[in-house]
Amino acid sequence: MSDVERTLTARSALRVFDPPGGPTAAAGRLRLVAASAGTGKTALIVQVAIDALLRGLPVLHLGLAGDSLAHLRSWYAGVYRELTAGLPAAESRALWERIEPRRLLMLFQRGTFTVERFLDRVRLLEAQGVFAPRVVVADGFALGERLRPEVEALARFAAQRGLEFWLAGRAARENDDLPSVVASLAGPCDTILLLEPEADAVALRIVRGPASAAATLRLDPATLLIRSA
Amino acid sequence: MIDDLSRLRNLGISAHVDSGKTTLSERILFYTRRIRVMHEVKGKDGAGATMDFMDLERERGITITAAATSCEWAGHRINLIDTPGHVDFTIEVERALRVLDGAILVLCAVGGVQSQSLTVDRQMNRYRVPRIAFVNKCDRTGANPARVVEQLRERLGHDAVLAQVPLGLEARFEGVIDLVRMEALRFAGERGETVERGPVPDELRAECEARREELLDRASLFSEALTEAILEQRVTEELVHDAIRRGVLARRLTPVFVGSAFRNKGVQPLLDAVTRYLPGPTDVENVALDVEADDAERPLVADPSRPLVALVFKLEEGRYGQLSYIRLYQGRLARGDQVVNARTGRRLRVGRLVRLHANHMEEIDRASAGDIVALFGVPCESGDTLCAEGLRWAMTSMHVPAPVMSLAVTPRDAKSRDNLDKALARFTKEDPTFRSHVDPESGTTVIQGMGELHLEVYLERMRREHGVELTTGAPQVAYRETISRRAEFDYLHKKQTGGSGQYARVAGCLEPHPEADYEFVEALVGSSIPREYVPACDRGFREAMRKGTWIGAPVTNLRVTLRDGAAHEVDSSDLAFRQAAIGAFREAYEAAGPVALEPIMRVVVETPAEHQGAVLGGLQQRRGTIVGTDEDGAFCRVEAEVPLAEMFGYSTALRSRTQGQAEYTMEFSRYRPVPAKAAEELRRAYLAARRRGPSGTAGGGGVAP
Repeated sequence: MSDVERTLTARSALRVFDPPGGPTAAAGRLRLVAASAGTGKTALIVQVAIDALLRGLPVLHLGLAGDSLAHLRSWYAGVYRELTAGLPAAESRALWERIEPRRLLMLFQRGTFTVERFLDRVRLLEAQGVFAPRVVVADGFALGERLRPEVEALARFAAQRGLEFWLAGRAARENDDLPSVVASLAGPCDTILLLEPEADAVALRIVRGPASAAATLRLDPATLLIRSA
Repeated sequence: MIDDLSRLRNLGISAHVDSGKTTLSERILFYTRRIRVMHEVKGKDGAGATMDFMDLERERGITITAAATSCEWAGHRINLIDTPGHVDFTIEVERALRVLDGAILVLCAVGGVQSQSLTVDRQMNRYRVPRIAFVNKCDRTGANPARVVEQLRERLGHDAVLAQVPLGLEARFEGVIDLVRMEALRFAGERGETVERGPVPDELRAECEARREELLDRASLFSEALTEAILEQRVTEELVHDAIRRGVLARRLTPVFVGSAFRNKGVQPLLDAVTRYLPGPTDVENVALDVEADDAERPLVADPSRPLVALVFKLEEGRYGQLSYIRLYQGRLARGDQVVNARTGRRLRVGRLVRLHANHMEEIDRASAGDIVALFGVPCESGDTLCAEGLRWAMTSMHVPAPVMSLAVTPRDAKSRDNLDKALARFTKEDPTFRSHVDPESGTTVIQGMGELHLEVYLERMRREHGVELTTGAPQVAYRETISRRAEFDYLHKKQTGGSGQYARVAGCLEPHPEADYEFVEALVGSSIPREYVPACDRGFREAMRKGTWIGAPVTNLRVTLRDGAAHEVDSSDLAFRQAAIGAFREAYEAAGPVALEPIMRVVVETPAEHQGAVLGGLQQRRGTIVGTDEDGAFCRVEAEVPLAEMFGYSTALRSRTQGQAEYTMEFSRYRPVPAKAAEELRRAYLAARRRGPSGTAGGGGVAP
């Protein structure tokens, strides 16, 4: 890890979620991020992914939101630009060239995703020697009681493989109450975050996880970057 | 000539290879009565489709050069440009898009949005071309137009909406249902020339009503009048057509039509849609740059009474000399007129003026704003702007990608040697992505292009059209070199060999400069180097960069700062400072940590999901970095970045790994440092070649900066 990578990861507001044993101790845990549409889930998930890339970890981004690969790449480029705004352009570009190959995007268009198929694809990537993830960020899930078996299966997978697994989504039905939705999925989750819009920011409410961070984290409404209040 | 410009359509047909666009063009020409007989691409009659006018295209069943042709439909003139689908020929697509006002995006009802569709769509966005979509091959097994509409939305980000519903699918595909008029269209007669209108079949009524509601809903976003009419339940055809047209012109709505060109179904309503929804020349904004006013932007008005501004967008060497395809943006042009080439300032006289019909042409006396025609025997290059006298406006330059692959060629006999120069002069003039040069050390001719297939096609055309038989070397990748750190230089060039001597000293530094290929910074204090010698220093550095001393490839991404130096009253000269700059560059270069760079290609493979593992493994073996996978139904799209050096023979390998069911496209992405081991090999090969004699180059002489 270079000095720049060390500095960027050390100053990240995401450190608040590190277990007492440091970020590596997050392996095997499932973290749930829930929010309504347009609140900043993808921005948060991409920040988590870039943070892991900077820590030298291979990241698999699982997308179910109907995005294209190009669209998702542009999300990464945008968030990375904000995160490294202070770096000289050449240094920022060189760093991105170094860390981007550690990321693999895996998209399933509507109706084609099943946990079994996803696990098959991961095994295939590993068997071909193409990619072995240490962190998975998954976006675009429709959250609700019916998703519980899938969340449990993914939590088991994370535990078996020692993966740090972030799962993000919104309520399956528009009018569902998010706190109740996440409560129904809480069992297998180590950390649960709710994104809640406020007047001038988006608050991260920590339903389960390090309570110390509860009142301190916000998403900047302009950049959607996570910051300490 | 069409006097009412609102009745003119400059139309392109762009799509994935094999989606049937050449067959569609052929049918359009048939129904507009420009041809009397239909041929098929790779048809049994061996004649080939009319738009595929070169022998080679007929043989391979692909379209290589864009052919222009003109036809009429419903009181409109349609200038039709058939564009190639293979990514190796994208410059042809880009040129065509530059002069189009609108386009039909053809998609296969089975394959849907594929990798090539993404490339073509990106190109259309670059030139802001409004389009409608045609989902072809609805008669094929597995046809699913609704799925293609979903893909248009999800993968290309179009607000796509069905304007027609297929009447049956696969073997039972009979025709289309027009959702604006709510009537069924069947295509009777031997060649589908009679359109029979009838009521919507009962079993499809519910679906059609739902689809119509969706169409009206989307279209109403562009018309308040339609919104009100929907609320008051007094929707008229005209209101719907007008709203759709507004959405198309704003490039925010893509109405989707369906059919099977091969089965002669759905082409006539598509032509109606072209005239109804796509823009005419007056609907599109174009600007030129005023060469004599510091490239100030000048809006162009499609008005025949204004001074002429026309763009040369394609050249062809024909039996009677050079044929220059032009698009008139304003003014008019007549036989005998004098025009000015804005690039050279030269006056040119217009001799023969022709309108084109694939490989036939029709002599005309004049052409007017908005039209696409061709000139004979006018000396100009592709991309030149022709203006009325007194005007020097240039159209914005076209984006031309740099070639990434080169091939050394040697004529097999005297006749081939004689004809080679002529053939190269022709092809390099016609196609800016195809280049050639003679390697100064080996004396070998090197051709450069956008990939294996691109170069193969030109080799074949040289053989067929100019009788040039060539022996070729192995295809070479266009490597580059750059530096990784700053290095100082202080170099004295001093020669005294009788007569006047040579004296020049230059001092400064080389630095990496990722933002540009090359920058020369003059930071002299005082008059250590007289000003008149500074350009010679710049030239010397540029010359040295043509061939680096690390692997023998051109040097890029470098800034040279000249800070100090010395001159002699008698012995200093341009030549001495140029030599000093070359010496200084070589002195500092090794200290600046040279690095070999290789072109990285963005490779997109479309494969049935069951072959995903084989595709991933194959790309991995070729030093590929997998960017991502995208599964949709039974198909998967794999995107990777792979060094071009590893892509030789990939078509064959992919076919054998996937039982011929996968296909791929690739395009240049960027240059990236070569991994240490491969770089060492390149370095060793370069040094060995240098020891052997004057032929040591990387990339067959590399690509000149």
